[in-house]
Amino acid sequence: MSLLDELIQSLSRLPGVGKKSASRIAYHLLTTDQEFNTRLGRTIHSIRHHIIRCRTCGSFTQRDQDPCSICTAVNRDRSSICIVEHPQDVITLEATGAYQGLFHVLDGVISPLDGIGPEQLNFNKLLARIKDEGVTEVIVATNPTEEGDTTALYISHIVKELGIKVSRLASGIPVGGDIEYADRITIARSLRGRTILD
Amino acid sequence: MKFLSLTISGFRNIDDVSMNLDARHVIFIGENGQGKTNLLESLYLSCYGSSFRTRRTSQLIGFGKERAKITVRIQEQDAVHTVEALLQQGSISMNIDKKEISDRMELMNRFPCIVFTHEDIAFVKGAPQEKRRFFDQTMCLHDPLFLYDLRRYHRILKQRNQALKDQRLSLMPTYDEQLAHIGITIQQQRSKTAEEFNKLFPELFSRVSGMDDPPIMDYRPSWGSTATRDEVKKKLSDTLSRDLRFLTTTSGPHRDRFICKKGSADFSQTASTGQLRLISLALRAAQATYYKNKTGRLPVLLLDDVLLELDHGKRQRFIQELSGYEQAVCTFLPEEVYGHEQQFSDVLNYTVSKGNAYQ
Repeated sequence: MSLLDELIQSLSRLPGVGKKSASRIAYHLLTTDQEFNTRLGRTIHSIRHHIIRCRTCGSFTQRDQDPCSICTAVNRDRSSICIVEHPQDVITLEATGAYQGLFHVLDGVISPLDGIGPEQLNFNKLLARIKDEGVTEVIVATNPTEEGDTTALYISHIVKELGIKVSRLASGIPVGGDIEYADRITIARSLRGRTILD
Repeated sequence: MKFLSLTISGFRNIDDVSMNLDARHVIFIGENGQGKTNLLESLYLSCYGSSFRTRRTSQLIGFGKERAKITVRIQEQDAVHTVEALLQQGSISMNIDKKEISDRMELMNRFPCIVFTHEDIAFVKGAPQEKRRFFDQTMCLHDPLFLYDLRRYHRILKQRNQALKDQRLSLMPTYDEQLAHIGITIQQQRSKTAEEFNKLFPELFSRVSGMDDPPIMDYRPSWGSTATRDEVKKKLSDTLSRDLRFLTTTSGPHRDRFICKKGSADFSQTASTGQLRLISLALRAAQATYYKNKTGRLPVLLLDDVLLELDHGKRQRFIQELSGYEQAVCTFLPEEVYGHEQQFSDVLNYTVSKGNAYQ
């Protein structure tokens, strides 16, 4: 296999990159300036050394800042924890600016069919944090899938025993979206989960 | 709705066919094995993205062909839509007006069509899941959320069964709550539908068969008809040891039963083959009427050789019961077709032979 083929094959293993995009990227790298390639190569090579998991919440952080900047921030609301499936979900929620509390990354959802139970997820640390940090509200931000629901319900079972409020992100028609363009199931579900206007 | 035209390439034994379907009645006449049912199947597939005969896409693609394509033009209320089904490499992709449909659930209820086949007899005398399938279809036709709930239920059921196999007992209360929540919704829907259905079906059957004491479809939910969510949760937790022994969830809507009952007895055990056939036809006819009553819309009916075994009187009475449709597409054997032309108006006749159709 030529080096070019090898590059295309490696690139096509990346999420969201098919064979076609992989060869486009590969040919682009062949013609772009060498300095860019060197920098990109160096970054890819060292990224896992420099970016690590935060020992407290499990999201990504710089090696020289562990626990991460959110976990150590003095001005954040330490009484609430938002539980997410993946580290990138932290970035998404953080970008909204609407949440000032702490995060906890589970690293997946409960799915026995995939061999994942609570033991395979970051649960023990979660319970320890809830107890240690005086948390009073847990917000579950798992995806609205069956497994996301199972995980949310499981969390609510174990956390409610501690007398802590548990909530879940709302789901339905996107804000600013047009009902006309939403799919029928989303609309039907939104109708079922409608809320009373106060 | 109504089909206006059909174009097929590489589907089963149909290499290349293009036909006009713009009539209230379309009749495919031909000997067995010529492709009549394949034509009906292609129309059904355009509405649902799947076949009523097989789940294996490879069986639908013509011998030696890599792909098959079905294009239909459908008139729905005042608009005309083009639906395309492309079958290749084991999958079916659907487009409506050039826009790809990512989930078959999106197709449900969009283009209502009801198929009558010989296999429908399983709805009366088949395995319990066949009978559930009939009622589930009846609901999915007008309520897309019912299919959504069914899918969710089965996904959670699979997870719970795997958790039973893996002895993950700490997850049981969570799964029990989820199953109880969605399961009761499914049960309530089935129960309501069975009740409404039994206001239609027995009378319809009486009119066609001439039988004074018609059977009803009795719904027997696995959790009992009045169970609350808490009662179901308790039941699931009480029967956990049994579930662990069988390594599967032994109660729930996936174990619900429908029984064709006459008096207090299971009629499917004593009915003759002719009566069973007639019941299955009446079930489909009632399904069409039920859909019409629920939505105010008229479905397309696809009738696959099903009038064959009825005597003249029953046949006429049955056709009268089928009045609530916008279009009916029927298949007939050559010797069978005579006499129908008086009953049907606005008819397009096609002779089907070796995968071709001629007007």
